[in-house]
Amino acid sequence: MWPFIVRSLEVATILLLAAIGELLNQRSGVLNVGIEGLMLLGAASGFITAMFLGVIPGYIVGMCLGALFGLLHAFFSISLRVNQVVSGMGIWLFAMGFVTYWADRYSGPLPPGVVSIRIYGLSPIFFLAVAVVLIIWFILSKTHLGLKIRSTGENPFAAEVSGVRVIRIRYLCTIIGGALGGLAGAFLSLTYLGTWSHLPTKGLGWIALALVMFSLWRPLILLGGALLFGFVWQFAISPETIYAGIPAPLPVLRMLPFIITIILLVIISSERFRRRWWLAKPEALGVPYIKE
Amino acid sequence: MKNGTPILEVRGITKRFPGGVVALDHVDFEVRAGEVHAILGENGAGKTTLMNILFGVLQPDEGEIYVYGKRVKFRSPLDAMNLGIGMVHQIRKLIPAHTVLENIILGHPKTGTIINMKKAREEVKALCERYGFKIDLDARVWQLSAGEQQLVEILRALYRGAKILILDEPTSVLTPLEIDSFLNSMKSMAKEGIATIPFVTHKLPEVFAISDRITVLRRGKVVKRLETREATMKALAEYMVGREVLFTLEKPKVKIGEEILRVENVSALNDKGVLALKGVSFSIREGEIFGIAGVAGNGQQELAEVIAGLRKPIGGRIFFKGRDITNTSVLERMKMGIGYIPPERLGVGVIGNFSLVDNILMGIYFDPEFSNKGFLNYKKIRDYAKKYISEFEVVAPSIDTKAAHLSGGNLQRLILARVIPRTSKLLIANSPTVGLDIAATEAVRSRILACKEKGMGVLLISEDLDEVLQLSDRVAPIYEGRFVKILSAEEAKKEVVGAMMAGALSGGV
Repeated sequence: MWPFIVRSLEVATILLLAAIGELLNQRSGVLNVGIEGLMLLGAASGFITAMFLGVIPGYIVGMCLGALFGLLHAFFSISLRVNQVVSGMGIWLFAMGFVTYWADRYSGPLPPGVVSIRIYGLSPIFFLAVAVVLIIWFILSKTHLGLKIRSTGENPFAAEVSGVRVIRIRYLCTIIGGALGGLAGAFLSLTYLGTWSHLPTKGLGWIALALVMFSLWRPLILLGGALLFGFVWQFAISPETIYAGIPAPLPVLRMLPFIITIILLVIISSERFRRRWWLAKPEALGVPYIKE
Repeated sequence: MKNGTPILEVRGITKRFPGGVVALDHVDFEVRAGEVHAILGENGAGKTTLMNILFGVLQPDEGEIYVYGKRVKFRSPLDAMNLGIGMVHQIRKLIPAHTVLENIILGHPKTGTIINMKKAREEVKALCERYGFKIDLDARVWQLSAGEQQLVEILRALYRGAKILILDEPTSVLTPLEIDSFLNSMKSMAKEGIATIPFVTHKLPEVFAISDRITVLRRGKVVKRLETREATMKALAEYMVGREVLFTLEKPKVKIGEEILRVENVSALNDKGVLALKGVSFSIREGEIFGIAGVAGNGQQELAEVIAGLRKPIGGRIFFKGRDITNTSVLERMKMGIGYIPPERLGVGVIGNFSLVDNILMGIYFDPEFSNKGFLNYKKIRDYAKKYISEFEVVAPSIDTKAAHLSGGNLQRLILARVIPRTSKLLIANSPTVGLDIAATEAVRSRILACKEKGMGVLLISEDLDEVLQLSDRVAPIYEGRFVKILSAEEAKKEVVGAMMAGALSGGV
């Protein structure tokens, strides 16, 4: 049972890191649908770095590449005012192609001796992820910076006349969001999988995106959602550890996280939730800021 | 700072825009502590440019600004704020999802890294008490009325230590009751030595109520500086427009004829699916103007759309000359001679990316005279468009100009040029003069009266009480989807109608 819990907490870690980063940049009004791409880039660069330099440099490089692409997305969507969905999709498509070309030649496990640190089998990154969620929750709800971030995502024009530097805040949040996406990817390839196989993220980035949407942009709900999805995801992969004689065939179980995502999205688009959802949604999400 | 000492001085401000347009031409004036100094001007007089210069959004090409006798240069609004200049925008710059308190403290250096909500609340509360403002600091801004939102903007400026307050069209979106409380807050600010500079285009009467001095701008120049007690409404309007203005239009004497429109117990939902119109009945006769006075959002918009055919009623019936038209299409209603002037000019009234001709065409395309078996006769269409564009005095470089390039007043003239010539029986005018300057307002109102003179029925919907009372033969104040009462022109006193549309008076009184 414990190994199963550890594995599902690891999936939750991946989702948490990716989703809390996305939550932050969405709160500032920047939508980045390319999380899957950020994760792929973080996973590949982290994996290749780790092969030669060890796990910790792998994490750092993965995070930095994520941040770099966060910066790229910020430049496209904030400075050049490209449609944010297009820019995010661009990052995803680029990452798919580039990572396949770059990392697939290293397919296989990490060399022996390159292993992640674990405490009772659990990676310290899990605690880091929870800490990041709590810190971001604190910043958003209790600090002036958080108020500025939320204001920027709601109405950048109003924020600007109150002396908030909208562009700077959006850049900051988008870069941090990218870094956390990259870190999530590095954690996936280095600790959760420990091997490289073709496009290893398998839709986790999209689930993270959905998670942000139905958390109503609240970090603490996001935490709960990530833990739930970590469990479901892992259950779909190795149900026998929970319930040996489960009657459903594996492909059906593998669909589980996506089916649940669809169901949750249907629920939150129902009349009752939709009203709350619209209230919670940062009003300027996805809208470029153009100074008059 | 003692009241009466000059605190803001503007000397020789000139601003040129690319293309050689001189928006401001050596403008100078001076504002004293504790005074209300109104700046009047038509659209295009340079008011917005001047406001932006005073608040640091734009930099002047020439001229100097002095605050407390010291020459200053603003690079951004932040500089202006730091020198004690605050701004209350016409389009509210507030965050609807946040609380009043959060909006007030946002971006203030005093707020610190970790927000001390308790301390901030006490400070803002003290400020409210000092000026006698009443507002719930924990309410979310979207829940507030227009007047309360304005108060939040004023509070935000005062919290930042503003001594000079620029107000952009402060009374244009307020209800009569809110205007009273706004005037009170202006007085209490003046007592505390705060100078306020309201910029006004549309609503002149309030200027008299609040201001000490007036500066009138026309085409970027100061045309007149005067004390309010020396001024008259008529004179001010003339300074603004540059010619004589008819303030009270002569209502033509017309014989009221047969009934054209009868509305029976009509109900309708709004866009959010909420019941907005709750059983309204009335009728309009030939040569009659039926006015509906109400604050936006009380169902009048839905009523206009139901009659125009744009919205399906969920109950009740509509008769046009005795014929049930509840379920007929917009096109059929247009062909019967019903015309509709929507309140959103650019959103609904015209297609901004279409030329003037094509916008006119949208009102006549179905007429066999202009389209033969689906083929448009552009020669005839252009002649028709030219005729009415000049008749309705739309000012534009050519009839192929895009409609989006027109000013508000010209846009409304264009809409009138499309609708009125094709309307023979009933005109529905929803907020026809909202946001227009004096000259355009005068033009629109006289067109509406001309329709009455021709024996048409007119349904006039407006938030501007003066407008409704001046033009209408009967007036129905609307509140929360119901007519409070239908009043004759003689019964409809301003105070009574104002109280009724604010929900403060029921029909029995």
